[in-house]
Amino acid sequence: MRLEEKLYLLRHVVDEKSHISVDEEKCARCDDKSCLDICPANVYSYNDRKVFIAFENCVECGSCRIACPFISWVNPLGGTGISYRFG
Amino acid sequence: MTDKFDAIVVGTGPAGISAAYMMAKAGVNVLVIERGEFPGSKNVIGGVLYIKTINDMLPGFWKEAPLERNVVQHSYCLMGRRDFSMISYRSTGSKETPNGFTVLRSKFDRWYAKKAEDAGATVIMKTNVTELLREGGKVVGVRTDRGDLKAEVTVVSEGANTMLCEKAGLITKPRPDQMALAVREIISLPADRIQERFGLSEGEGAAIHYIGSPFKGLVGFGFVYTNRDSVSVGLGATLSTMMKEKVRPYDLMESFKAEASVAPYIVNGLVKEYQAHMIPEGGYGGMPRLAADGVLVAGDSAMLSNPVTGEGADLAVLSGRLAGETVALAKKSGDFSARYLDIYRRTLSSSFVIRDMRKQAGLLHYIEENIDIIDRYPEAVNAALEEWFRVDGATRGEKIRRIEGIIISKRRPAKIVRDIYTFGRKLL
Repeated sequence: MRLEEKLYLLRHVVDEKSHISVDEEKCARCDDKSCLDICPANVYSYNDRKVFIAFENCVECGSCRIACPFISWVNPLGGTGISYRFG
Repeated sequence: MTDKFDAIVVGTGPAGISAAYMMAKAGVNVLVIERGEFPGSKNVIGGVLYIKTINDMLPGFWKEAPLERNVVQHSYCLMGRRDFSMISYRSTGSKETPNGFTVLRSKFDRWYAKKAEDAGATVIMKTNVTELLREGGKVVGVRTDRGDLKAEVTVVSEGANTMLCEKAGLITKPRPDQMALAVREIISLPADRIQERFGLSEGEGAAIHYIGSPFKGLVGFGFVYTNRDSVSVGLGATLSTMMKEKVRPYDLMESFKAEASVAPYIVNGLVKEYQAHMIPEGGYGGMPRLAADGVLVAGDSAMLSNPVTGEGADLAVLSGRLAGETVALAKKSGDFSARYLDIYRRTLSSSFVIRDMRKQAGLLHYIEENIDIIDRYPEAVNAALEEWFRVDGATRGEKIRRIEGIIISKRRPAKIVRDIYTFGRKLL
């Protein structure tokens, strides 16, 4: 089963504003780019020397926050974000 | 809602609700703040809630709570590259008090939060606590995205993402080797099909923990738990080893599900939900300061977890309970200073929770330093059993000597002795 299909099953209450941001200069020079591997919802992608953040897919595990010092991650606004039905 | 509370609890997980319940019972005016749509909406459990700590608070709760299955069978599966072996324990007699139940947190946490509400706690949803308010070093309440709220004492039980504790200087941001990422799928199957596949009766459940080959290079493990009409399948590994191996969690999940020791349990099942959550694995050395002026830390936020048994939620319950009891005492004496609130740290430290954590300190670090043992030992066991069961003309004596050779080829004897010594010292 592809990740896209799994993510499609999830219920999110989407806020307009992203709760994730990155330091783009540091990202451009980052060799590891752990965010691309570690994120279980594939929120991060890298194209044209730029990081794209699909914050609306975030499941709020916080792994990227621990894995990378250049990611600034806060909880989304109260009442928004992931809402598990079978948590 | 009054403006000023005796106590504020951040989060409606098992730690926060246990704290709020004990406080409300003791007449403390307590407010619980949850950022999700409902209690449990942001929460994920591997599978089993061991009931001891919660049953001590609410005797017989398991007869009315929304639990999935009474876990009567516990198994370990040692996975090789092309074989596996299993060791299982099964309880067959009916026990007066069960040991643990599989639960789904979106149901359970809602039920449990209602218990605290019935006891007199105020619970509000959809409110995110962004920082702890301080006056002269003392925590005097919380800042939320809906305004400031004051209280004599705040219990931080925000889960594994310890951002409030970090901001307040109670903990330094955990390192990638101090956190595990777990992913899980809920796969729906009819109840009778689950019972047939796992050899269970109605209401009975099974828990299988997997170690070995698929987790080569990772301080990681897998699991399968039976719910009422679904199976939870998942895995977890420390972030540091996942980063090192450049493993994508969802790819690992797919290969894990395809393993011969996993696939038959979930075949023809329908994936209902995919989840991810962190597990604190910092151990004793990674714990935050548990009590400071006007603040206590409980549950995953306090890094309470047991990597050996997979416990977490029950430890959260005990820590929440002790935090709640401490706040009740503090209110009586009118003293919310760090010195007084230290009662919480002391009682928690003398409980099995911290005693185990102190004992196991450095266990995962040892595994990461000796990462071979993740796949070598399970492979050795499987190869030895394969040799033992294969009839090929060799005598049993020759078989034993071959098995010795197999084990030594997987790990040097001196290292085996050191492993046994280290594990013995950390567990016994």
